[in-house]
Amino acid sequence: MRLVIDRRSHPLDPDFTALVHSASGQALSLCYQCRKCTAGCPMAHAMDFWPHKLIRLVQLGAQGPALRAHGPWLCAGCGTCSARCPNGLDVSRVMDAVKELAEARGLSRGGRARLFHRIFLDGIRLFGRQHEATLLARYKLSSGNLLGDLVHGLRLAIKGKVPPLPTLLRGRRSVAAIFARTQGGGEG
Amino acid sequence: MKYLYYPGCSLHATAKEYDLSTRAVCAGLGLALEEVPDWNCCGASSAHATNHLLSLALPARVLGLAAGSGLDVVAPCAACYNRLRAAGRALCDPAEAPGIAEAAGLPRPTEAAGVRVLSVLELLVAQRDRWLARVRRPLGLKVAAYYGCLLVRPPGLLGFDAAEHPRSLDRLLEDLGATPVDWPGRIDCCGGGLSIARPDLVRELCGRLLGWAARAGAEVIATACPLCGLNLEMRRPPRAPALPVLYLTELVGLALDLPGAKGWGRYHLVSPAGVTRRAGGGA
Repeated sequence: MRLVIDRRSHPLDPDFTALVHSASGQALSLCYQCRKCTAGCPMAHAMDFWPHKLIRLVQLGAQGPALRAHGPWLCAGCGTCSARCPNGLDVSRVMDAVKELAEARGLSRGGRARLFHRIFLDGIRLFGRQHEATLLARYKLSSGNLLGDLVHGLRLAIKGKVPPLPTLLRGRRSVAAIFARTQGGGEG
Repeated sequence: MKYLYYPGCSLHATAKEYDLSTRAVCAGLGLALEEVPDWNCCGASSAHATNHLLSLALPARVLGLAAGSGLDVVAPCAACYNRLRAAGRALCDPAEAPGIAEAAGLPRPTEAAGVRVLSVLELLVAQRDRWLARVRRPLGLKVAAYYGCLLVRPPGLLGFDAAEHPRSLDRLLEDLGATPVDWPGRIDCCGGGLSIARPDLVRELCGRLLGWAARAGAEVIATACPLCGLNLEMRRPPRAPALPVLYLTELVGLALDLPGAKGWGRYHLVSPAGVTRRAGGGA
């Protein structure tokens, strides 16, 4: 995606660069746009801003476009970009930090991936472990895609790979407490 | 020898055959596995994608449960393994450790940081002497060694094999009497945790991987990650080759002719019956 940055539509904020730097622990000024991250990214073709472009947005302090990008939400966390960065930047860590900041500022446009992450984490908060059947049911209800994966789910269930009930941990309160301490309340 | 076992959520559900085969292989080699008591989910991709502190505190709790036993933890799931390692490293960082310990409710973070976490691949490589002479039925199959992402990356965190050209799984397959094929997908991503939210994209990646493996002449793909295993079977595009995918422990089980090894095949969505029959020189 091509983006023309002019001061009126996209105010640039150098503090944003510093914020992403401290949130990710990555010195983003090291990036010289070699595009190696994007070249190896398995999801780049589906992203609005490719990984190197997202880093450029952050370097410029273009907070709005960076936090509203959906590209980072398509990051599968495979770490290919980070392993190949000639300057040792953990690019995938930057992707995660941008998502976390977007969430915190209410700017996130992560779509279904964001919805999935929220439901996935909420399941751990409730049970302490992931329970696939609950996860899939809640995701279906929330996304409105009721029929997707129904056949796969049934095939897995027939093979005895979908336990009908969640396992409840003895220490699930301590797991819920971890969520409370890290999410400031508990709800996504 | 005894290890703590961290199966993770997948091995109790969609990767049941990985759990069964890991337990059987360890039992067969005289390696006792004891589940980490009351373990919780590591948070997987969803935690590190959206909440850094949570993504370290959840696995830190697991390390805390394992600490004090003096035993190493075996984590067959590549994602769990990666997250446990990440938490261990963060707990060694004086800047990060106090915050994580507080969030995880860890009374003794230094002890938790000292817990060693191994993948099944690392375990089998380390214990090679225990199984090499016991290969009763050399596989005789052409296998695509699929490392995927989280067994080899980030290299600084795992440091077990080369990030771009790993060889450990290929060598292990050779030791089992298989012929590893040269194929381009070895360290490529299957789409991982985006499988439910973006099946369209994951199907693309899995279709490409299956095509590459088939064109290289592989009869089966060997994986050590429950998500890779599930995605390659469940997200296979209609026209992609229906190549069976086996966990490396299943292949070890077949080569060592462990009791029950052929029965694990029934849990797969793509039946490996053809290759399990051929394995070890069967008709």
